Amino acid sequence: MSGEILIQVIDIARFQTVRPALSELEAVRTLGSETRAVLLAAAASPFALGIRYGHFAGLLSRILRHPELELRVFLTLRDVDEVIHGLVRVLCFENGAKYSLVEPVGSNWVVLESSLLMFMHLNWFRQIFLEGGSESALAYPRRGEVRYYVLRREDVARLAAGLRPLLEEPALAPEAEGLARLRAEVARLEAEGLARLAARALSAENLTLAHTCLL
Amino acid sequence: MPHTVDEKAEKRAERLEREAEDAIADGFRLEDGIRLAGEALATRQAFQGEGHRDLIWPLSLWIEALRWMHHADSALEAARLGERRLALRRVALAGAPDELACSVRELMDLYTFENDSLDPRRADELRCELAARADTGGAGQEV
Repeated sequence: MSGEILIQVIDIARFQTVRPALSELEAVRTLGSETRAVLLAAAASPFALGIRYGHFAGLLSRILRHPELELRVFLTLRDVDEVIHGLVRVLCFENGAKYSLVEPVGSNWVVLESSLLMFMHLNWFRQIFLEGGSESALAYPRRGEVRYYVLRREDVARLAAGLRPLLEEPALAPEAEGLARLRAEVARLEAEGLARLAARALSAENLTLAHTCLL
Repeated sequence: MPHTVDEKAEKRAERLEREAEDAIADGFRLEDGIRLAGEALATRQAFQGEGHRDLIWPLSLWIEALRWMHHADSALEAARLGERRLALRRVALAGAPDELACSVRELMDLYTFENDSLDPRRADELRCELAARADTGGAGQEV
């Protein structure tokens, strides 16, 4: 694995609740009232407008304006995939799945980039993030550039336990050289962020962590 | 219980469409996507007729695959298929003028390739139609 891993908190119970609506959208026929209710909930979310400069919210509005129409008549494949992905982001991820590549650690995300290599040397990390296999893939979005993988709760607990000794290590001595020092500080910051996310995910039964490769 | 011929054809068309969707979204199997969308279209044409609104979706899939190829020839073919799709949408979206306006706009986009118009005369006609729709309140919203 190369590139960057984005790790976020997901409400997996909510995902299971909206999953039938995602299947119905994928069928691109007329939507039932329950699926329209899911779309209305997403449209009311403050995060909806932030996705692709309002394009996602525009698609929701178009669909909701014409409940009598089959999606296949007026939408494109890309539109449908964007709606499905947007719904998962807005309704299932904390903070609308917001993240930043400039700030590797945020309230609801961690992007592992420079310290990814260091983490990959840890057996438990590789087992948690690489050996989940296809069964750990989130069912939706199943097409497009982004595919999410979900950790089992026991893996979130393993992650928290694996990070603990790293965080207990003392910081580098003040005389450490510049680059090594910077790397160590970034890695520590990201490990702290991951530990926070793991603790958050373990705080409620409906939560877990999802990860995706950004490059 | 045995399926009727139409039920079998519907199942086959749906399967072909699903396979085309996956091939196109994958991004690396566009030729497969075109072939599968074309087969789905032919299947639907055979059992539903030339003017059925269900033909719109395989056409949309075919157009999307062609657009992803980023060639002038495929862009022109996409526009040609877009004309056929618009003709079908004019019937299917007769009660939704805002969506019909979106469809006209989509066809205008299909006539644009790398900032050049593939058919300036046709693009002008579509622009005029869009303006006329705006005057009668059926131009829809830009999204």
